[in-house]
Amino acid sequence: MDSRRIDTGVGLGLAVLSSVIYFFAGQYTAFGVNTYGPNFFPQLLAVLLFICSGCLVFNALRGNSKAELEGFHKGGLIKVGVTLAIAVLYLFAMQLLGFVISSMMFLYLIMFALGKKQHWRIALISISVTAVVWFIFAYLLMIPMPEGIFSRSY
Amino acid sequence: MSVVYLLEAFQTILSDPSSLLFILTGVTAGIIVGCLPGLTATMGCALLIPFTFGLPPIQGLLMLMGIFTGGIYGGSISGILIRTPGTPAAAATLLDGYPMAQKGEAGKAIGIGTIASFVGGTIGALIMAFLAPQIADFGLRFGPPEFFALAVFGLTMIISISGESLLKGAIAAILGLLLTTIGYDPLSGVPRFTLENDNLLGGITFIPALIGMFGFAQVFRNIEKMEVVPQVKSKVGKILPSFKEVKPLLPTMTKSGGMGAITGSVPGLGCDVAAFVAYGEAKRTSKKPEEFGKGSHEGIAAPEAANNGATGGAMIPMLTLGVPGDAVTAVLLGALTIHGFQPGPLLFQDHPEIVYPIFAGMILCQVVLLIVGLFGARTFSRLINIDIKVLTPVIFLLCILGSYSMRFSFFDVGLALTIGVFAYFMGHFKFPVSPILLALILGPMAEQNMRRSLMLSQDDLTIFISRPISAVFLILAVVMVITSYRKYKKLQKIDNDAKQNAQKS
Repeated sequence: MDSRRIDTGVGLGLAVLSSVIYFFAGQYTAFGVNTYGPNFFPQLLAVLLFICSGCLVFNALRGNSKAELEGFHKGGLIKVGVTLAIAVLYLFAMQLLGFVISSMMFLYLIMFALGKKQHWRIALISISVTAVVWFIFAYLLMIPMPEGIFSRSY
Repeated sequence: MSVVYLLEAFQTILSDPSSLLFILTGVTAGIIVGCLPGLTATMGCALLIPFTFGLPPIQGLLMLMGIFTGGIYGGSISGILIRTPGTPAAAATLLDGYPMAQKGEAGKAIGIGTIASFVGGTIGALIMAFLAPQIADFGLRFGPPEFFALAVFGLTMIISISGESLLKGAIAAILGLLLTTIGYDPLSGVPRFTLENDNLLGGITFIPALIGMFGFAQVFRNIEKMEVVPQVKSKVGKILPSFKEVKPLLPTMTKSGGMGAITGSVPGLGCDVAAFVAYGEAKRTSKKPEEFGKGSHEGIAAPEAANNGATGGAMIPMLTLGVPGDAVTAVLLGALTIHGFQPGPLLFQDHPEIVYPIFAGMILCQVVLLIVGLFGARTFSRLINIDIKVLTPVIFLLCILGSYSMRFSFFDVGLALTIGVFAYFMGHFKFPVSPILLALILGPMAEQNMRRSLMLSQDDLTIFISRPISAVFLILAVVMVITSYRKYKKLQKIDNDAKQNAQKS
């Protein structure tokens, strides 16, 4: 991966971010506080971030950023995207269907997406892992797990 | 006085079998997480903290100590067996551990590593138990300017060892500090950067941030690498080395344990640096230096004793001054805060009932580690062979549950996932993540103490250099930055020269 292009892009992005932070932080004022109020620390950090991102861009343009960046593996990146999408769907599913059903589906789908094709085996693993995790969290640690539409009303 | 407290703490723990059970659970869970390649001790602690939420404070903390000790040790098992250190702290161990495994002596290498971890860890824990109260006493003299200077010093130490680029380490630390400004300003009550979202009023919650940076990001990395890197399988032979083999290693273990504890106690250095320092020293003083790198017993004993010794050492600044020694102790500091205790000199004064059981627990963890390590090595090494396509989804699920169970909030899970995606890309772009974690701990300490100092001095900035302790820390911070910049430039020059020579030839 071209580290120069990445570093320049990241540096410019951070410079914009630091300017936005500086601007917004300037609005935080409080009465009865000395000169160094709630705006001071974020603004100081924004200035430091701006300087550092400037240095990053400068180094990149001068050809000093020679660190070998890890290249993305296309197939792997797609799998990351797919699993992330499944995780986001899982969060919604958990609120609707509760922990048990959605977790079994989540584990099954992720294992399938990662290349496990033996349906019975991954179904069995999904059910048993969900059962163990539910037992530990809900029963032993007494953490209230989402029950979705199956929630008991008292 | 502290010996009496320590003995009382032993009595408290030993009289309650459930405490021992939690140590055992923690150590075992730590070893399991540590020995699985791709799961670091930091990630292990982050993942397992939610399991301690429902426990009474002492039991919860004992379990965390166990996870920490076991996690650092567990990394060596996969290092020896498949040349992939489970944790960075075990990177030095594989230099001699893997050659031994190739000779068919993997079991013996694990056995020596376990005994060395026990010896080093016990020395580290003892040094912690006797040194920490003295440092905490000294820390009582600290006021806001001193704590601010200490936070700055801690941050510079961390940036300076944060990987290939100082600049990227500094940027990561600043981003971490900026994250700490989200939420109510603790001194004036003004909400900052909350984007009118009520979930952010209390700031970025520590556990979701932690799980995002070290859990989700690692899961994504594992998923991506699954495509390219095949899983390596392992085999173990006889575990227990004979007494004749262990006896000559005892001086190396003892020395390395002590060195590890001292190195680990310097904020920023941590267990991995301690292991390499001890390895270098053992090689330098060894009667058979030529055997190093080819399966030397000393080459395993030294780094293993040092990295477990460093666990005790790294706890010293964390407990006494509230400055974590490395990423794992930063996690432990966060866990202590979640259990309602603020590490720092006052912890020793206000909560001796917590501090001394931590010391005693740390020593007991080493004993449990020895027993579990020697008897369970064969089982743990089998775990390395678990299909990664099954293991990764399970870890993914645990990360989601871990970030949910802190406040039972789906917002926290979303936040952790978002941070995870950022951390994943940061890793690709060579931005270190550890400085963000440490900045999350040190940020509030730096800001609050800076502003309190300026209130005391009525906006006079010289307060930071007119007080001796604060001035010393700030000077040390500047010296640290200059020396690490020089070292970085020197390394760059060596690298360039090597490349030029390679081109010429």
